[in-house]
Amino acid sequence: MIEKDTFNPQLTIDALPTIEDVLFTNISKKLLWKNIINLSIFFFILMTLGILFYLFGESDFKEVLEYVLIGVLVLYIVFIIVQIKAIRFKQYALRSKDLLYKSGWIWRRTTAVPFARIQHSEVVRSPFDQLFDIATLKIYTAGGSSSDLSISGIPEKRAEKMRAYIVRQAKLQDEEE
Amino acid sequence: MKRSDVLPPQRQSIFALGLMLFKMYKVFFKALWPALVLLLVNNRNYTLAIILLGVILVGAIVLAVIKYYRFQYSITEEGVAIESGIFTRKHTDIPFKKIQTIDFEQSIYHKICDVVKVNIDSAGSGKEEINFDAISAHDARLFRDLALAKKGSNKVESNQDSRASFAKEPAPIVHIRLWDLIKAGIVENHFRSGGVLLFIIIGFYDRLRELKIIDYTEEEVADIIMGATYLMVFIGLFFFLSFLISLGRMALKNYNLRLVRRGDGFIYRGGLLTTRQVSIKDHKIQVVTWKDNLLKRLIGFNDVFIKHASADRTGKKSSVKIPACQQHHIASITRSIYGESNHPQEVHYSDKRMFTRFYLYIWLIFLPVIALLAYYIPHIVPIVTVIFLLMVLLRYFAWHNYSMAIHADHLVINKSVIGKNISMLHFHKIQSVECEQSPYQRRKDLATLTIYSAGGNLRFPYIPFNVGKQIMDKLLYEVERSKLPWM
Repeated sequence: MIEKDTFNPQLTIDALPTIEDVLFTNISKKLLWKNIINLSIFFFILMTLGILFYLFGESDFKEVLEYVLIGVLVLYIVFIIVQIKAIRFKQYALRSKDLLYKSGWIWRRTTAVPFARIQHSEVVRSPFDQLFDIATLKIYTAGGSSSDLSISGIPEKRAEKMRAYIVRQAKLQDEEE
Repeated sequence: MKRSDVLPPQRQSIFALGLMLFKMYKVFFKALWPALVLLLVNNRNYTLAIILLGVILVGAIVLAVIKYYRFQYSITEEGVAIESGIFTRKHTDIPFKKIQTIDFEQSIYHKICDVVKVNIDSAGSGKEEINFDAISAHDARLFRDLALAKKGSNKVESNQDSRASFAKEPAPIVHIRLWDLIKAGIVENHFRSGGVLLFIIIGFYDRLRELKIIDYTEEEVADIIMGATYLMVFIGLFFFLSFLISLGRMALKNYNLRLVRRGDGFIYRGGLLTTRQVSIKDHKIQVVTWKDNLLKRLIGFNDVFIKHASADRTGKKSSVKIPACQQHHIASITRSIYGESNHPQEVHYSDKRMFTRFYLYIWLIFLPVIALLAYYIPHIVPIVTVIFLLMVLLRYFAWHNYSMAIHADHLVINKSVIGKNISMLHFHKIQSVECEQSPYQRRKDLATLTIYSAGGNLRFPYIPFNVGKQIMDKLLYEVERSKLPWM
């Protein structure tokens, strides 16, 4: 006979596992360097084109172009500051049944994806990722692109380990269902 | 697959040949029409053009006939087996337990020939959809009944039982009559139909000008259109046609619409020229939403959307819309899916700052704008003032109505503004949960909660941060402990 209390015990909200108690791991600082290099290459190309146009283009636009180039430079500095500030807010945590990810310096966001809802996962490494020995872990759910999760800047070996763990747990949960 | 056939291997109805031929012609013409036009217009090589046309006509017939004769299906007690392929033979077995949905469709051609188009959605690693162009209505029903029985229970249902069960179809929980459809058509969104009409008129006008049938200059056209009489007639005609289009669309798409509760799912059927039949299993339903607008509310009508996931594992969403639903229809649908409506365990509302912050900001924008307008274009100040006041009013209603009710196994989110907009979602259908804070929300200890499902996202803004975290924890707990299938 089933014990009354163990069959369907009452749970209070306070007894539920809470995200607040979870110890999050910061993503690798190497991501910051990767992002700075990416941004620098992009802005370098943009500035070079602007300067070439300034030197050899129509003289009518030169005055406007000066302001545009200064604007681009300011934008570059702002983007770098955002990257530096945002890096420490990017954190992740694995629990036995879900993956948690915190991000955002200005808009703070915490996302939780239960393993049982993961459709597939992958580890992606761009050439810069390979240079810094980091990777991006991508998690896909059936909730569409807005609910998919992409965590950049995880050390490569750890990303692979995490993916293997997620696949194992997702399969386990699938079997339980 | 064990070959204990309920239906031995056979071809589709002979009428499928006509549809296959039509498809082949479409493919051929799509690929070869530029060559045909070049031969006829540029080179004026009529002999070659006739030869090409002949190749298209004969080639399509030959391929369609081969395709028809090489496509065979059989229904066994375990599932459906299909042999197909024009040049390469392909054998496909779909066990009943893998079948997610079976949809029937009947165009006028199907109706005249008494055949049915069947679309089968099956769970696989990728998109795996099987279509029968035209099989006899009897075979289609037999197949659907067997599949439903197999999915519902493991015991085998005989051919005879299946036919009997189809004959005794339960009474529909929703049956939209023609008069209700006409009323729903009257209160439909005519602006959408108007947009379609405008698009057609502009396209048609451009085409006539290209062909030099209309040869007005831009100025002449502007004169004509701007003429007060023409403008009045044009506007009147425009609204009348928009209205007729809405009405026609509503009647054609939803004629004799029925939603029947059958086993652990629904069967939706409706449409005049093309009858669409969709089977929706309960576990596939992700979100149920019902909406109205001011006009619809006057006659007590709502549009109900049953959003369900398809077999495509990439997360394709499908939705069935049932117009002209009354409150008792909604109650029947939601009761079938979510059980009897009990008092919620918790109800949460958006914080008043969702409105007050907007109210403050709108004044900050409104006052300088009004000051500038009063100086430069004073006569439009009343119009702008009304627009601003309307915005404030809409925001007030949005804040006032926003609520989230948490029940034992599902939640209800009300995000009505003027029209109703209520969604229901089982906990175990949730894909992921997100809690977000803007800088302002952080200062005021507020947050916005977003719940993602395979049937769309549900947002709940300006909730106290602590409550948001608690709800997030609860939802995750419910999703993770649930053993119920979500798709």
